[in-house]
Amino acid sequence: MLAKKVSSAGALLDPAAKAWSKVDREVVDLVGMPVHLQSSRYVRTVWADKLIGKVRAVSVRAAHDGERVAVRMEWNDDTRNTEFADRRFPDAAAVLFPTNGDAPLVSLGTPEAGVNEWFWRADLEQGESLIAHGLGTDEKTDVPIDSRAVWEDGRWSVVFSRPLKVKGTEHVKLTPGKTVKVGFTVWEGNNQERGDLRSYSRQWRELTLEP
Amino acid sequence: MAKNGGKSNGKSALARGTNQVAMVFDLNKCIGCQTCSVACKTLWTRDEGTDYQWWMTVNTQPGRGSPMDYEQMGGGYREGVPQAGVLPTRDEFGGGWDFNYDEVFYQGKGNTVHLQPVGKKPTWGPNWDEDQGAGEYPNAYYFYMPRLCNHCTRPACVEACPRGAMYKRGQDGIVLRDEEKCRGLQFCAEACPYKKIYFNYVKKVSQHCIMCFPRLEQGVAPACARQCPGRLVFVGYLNDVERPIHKLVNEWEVALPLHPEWGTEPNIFYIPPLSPYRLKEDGSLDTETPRIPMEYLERLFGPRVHKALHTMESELKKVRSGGKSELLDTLIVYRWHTLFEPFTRDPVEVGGPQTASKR
Repeated sequence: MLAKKVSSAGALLDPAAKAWSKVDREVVDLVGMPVHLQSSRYVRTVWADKLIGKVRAVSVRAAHDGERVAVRMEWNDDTRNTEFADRRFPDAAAVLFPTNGDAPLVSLGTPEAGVNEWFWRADLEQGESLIAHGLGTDEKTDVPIDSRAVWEDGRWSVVFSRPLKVKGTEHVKLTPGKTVKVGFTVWEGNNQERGDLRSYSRQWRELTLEP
Repeated sequence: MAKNGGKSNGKSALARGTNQVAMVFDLNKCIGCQTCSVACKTLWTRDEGTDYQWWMTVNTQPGRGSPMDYEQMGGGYREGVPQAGVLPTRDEFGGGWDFNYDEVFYQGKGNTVHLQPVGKKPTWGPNWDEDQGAGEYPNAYYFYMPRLCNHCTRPACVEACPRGAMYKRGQDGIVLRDEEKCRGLQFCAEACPYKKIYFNYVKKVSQHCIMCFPRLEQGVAPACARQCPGRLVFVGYLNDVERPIHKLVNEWEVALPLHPEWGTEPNIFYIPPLSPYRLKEDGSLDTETPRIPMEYLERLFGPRVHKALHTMESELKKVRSGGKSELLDTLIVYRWHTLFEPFTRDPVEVGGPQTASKR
C-alpha cells in the first residue's frame, strides 16, 4: 500500500474531497475478532454463536505531503449509528500501527509490544490516538488525530490525519520513503460491536510513504 | 468518582473480602416513602447525564420493577455459567423527565396550569406501578421493595468488563468502577441480573451505586440507610458476629438475598414480608393462608423464605404469649444507632465533600 505524495494533505481531510479520486485504493478484507480471544468470560460465552465483525471489507487510500499523512477508510454500513442509543453503539473504526515490529495484530500487541490505534467513533468530535498493549488495554493519549467522517448511501467514509512526526515513542513514526506496518479495524454499532467485538484485517500490511 | 476507591487493596477482580459490608432491609417496615431514593438522588445523581439514574429505587411488589420487567432481562449465572443479559434502555428505566417549572412557578399560571412533564409523554417511570400490587378485593396485596446495587460476592458486572475497569475492593467488598478506564462498553449492565447499572450519556461511562463509600470510610452510614424514617435499613459487616446483620443473615436466617438463583451472591438482604390472613367469602379468616402467596415470595427469595417466615411467625407467637425475642427486639430497633454500627457518625460532624454544597 502506497501513501501517495500530494501537494496538500490538509485538503484531503474531507472524505468527499475530489483529490481522493486521484489516489489508488486498495480493498482490505476483514474478519471478526475471534470469540475465544475475548478477554471477558461473559463476552466469550454470550457471543459464542453470534456474528462478530459484520463489516468484511474496507477500501483504503493514503496520501501525505511531507508534513501530514491522511488515511481514508470506506466501508458498507446500511445503518448509521452516531451515538450510544437503545441497545446500539456508535459506529467506529481505527487504523493500527505496531510501535514495536513484533506486536501481534490479533491481540492488539502484548505487554511488551504496543500498538498505536488511530481511533474514530461516530459520536466523538475528534479522533483519538490510543496505545494498546493487548486486548482491552487501550489508553487514550494526548496526541490528536484529525478525523472527518461522512455517511452517504449506506457507506461510511472516514479520514484520519496526523503530522508525520509526533512526540512519544509509543506513536508510530512516519517518514517519506520508509515503510511501516498497518492494520485496520471496524466496529458495526448496530450489531452491538464495541470493545473487542469488531472486525479487523487479519495480518499486518505494509504502508510505504512515497518519497 | 470511584477513582480513589482504595484500588490498592481491591485490584484482584473478584477478591472475596473478609470484611464485606452488607445491608438488611426489613420489608415489614418499609412504607414506600422514597426517602431513601431521594436521599441517594440528591447526593449522587444530580448532574446532567445522571438525571434518569436512580441508584436506589423502591418498587411495589408484585410489579414490573425498575427498569421495567428487569426480572426477565437475563444476566447473572446459571450453574456458574454467565447468562446473556439485555441492556435496559432509558425508557425502560423511565424518569429523567423535564417539568414545566418555569411556567408554573414564575409565569403567574400557578392556578391554571398543572405541574407536568414536558416533551415526550412518559410511558414508564421508576415507580410507575406504585401500589397496584395484585390479588382481588378483599384479598388484594402488595409490599414495597427497595433495591440498590447488591455489591455481590460474585459480581457478574466485574467479570463481564473486558477492560478491568470494575473491581470489588478488598477492604469492604464494595463493587466500584474506575471511570478513567471505562469506555462505556456496558457489558457490566448486560451481565448484571438486577439491572442496577446505568449509562451516563454525557460522560459516556457506566455508573452505579457506590455504597456511599466516601461516607463509609468516614464512619458514616450510606445516605439511603441513614435517612430512612422507618428504621428498617441495617448496615454493617457481614462477619461482625455481635451485630444485627450477621445475626439476621447467618444466625436466624431471616434475611435473604433477592433472587439467589441468579448466582451472584448479593450482599443486600431482605426480611421477607409477613402478611395478614386471607378472608374467606363469608368474611371469616382463612388462618392457613397468608395474603401474599408463598409461591410468589419463593420466586423472589428462594425456598429459604418458608423457614424465614416460619421463624418470624414463631417469634411473634412467643412475644404475644408474654415471652422475649431477641430477633424481634433487633428488628424493632429500640436504639437508632444499632442499625448502623460501626458506621454511626453524623455526616455533619465529619465535614468534607459529603457535606459541601457542590461535590
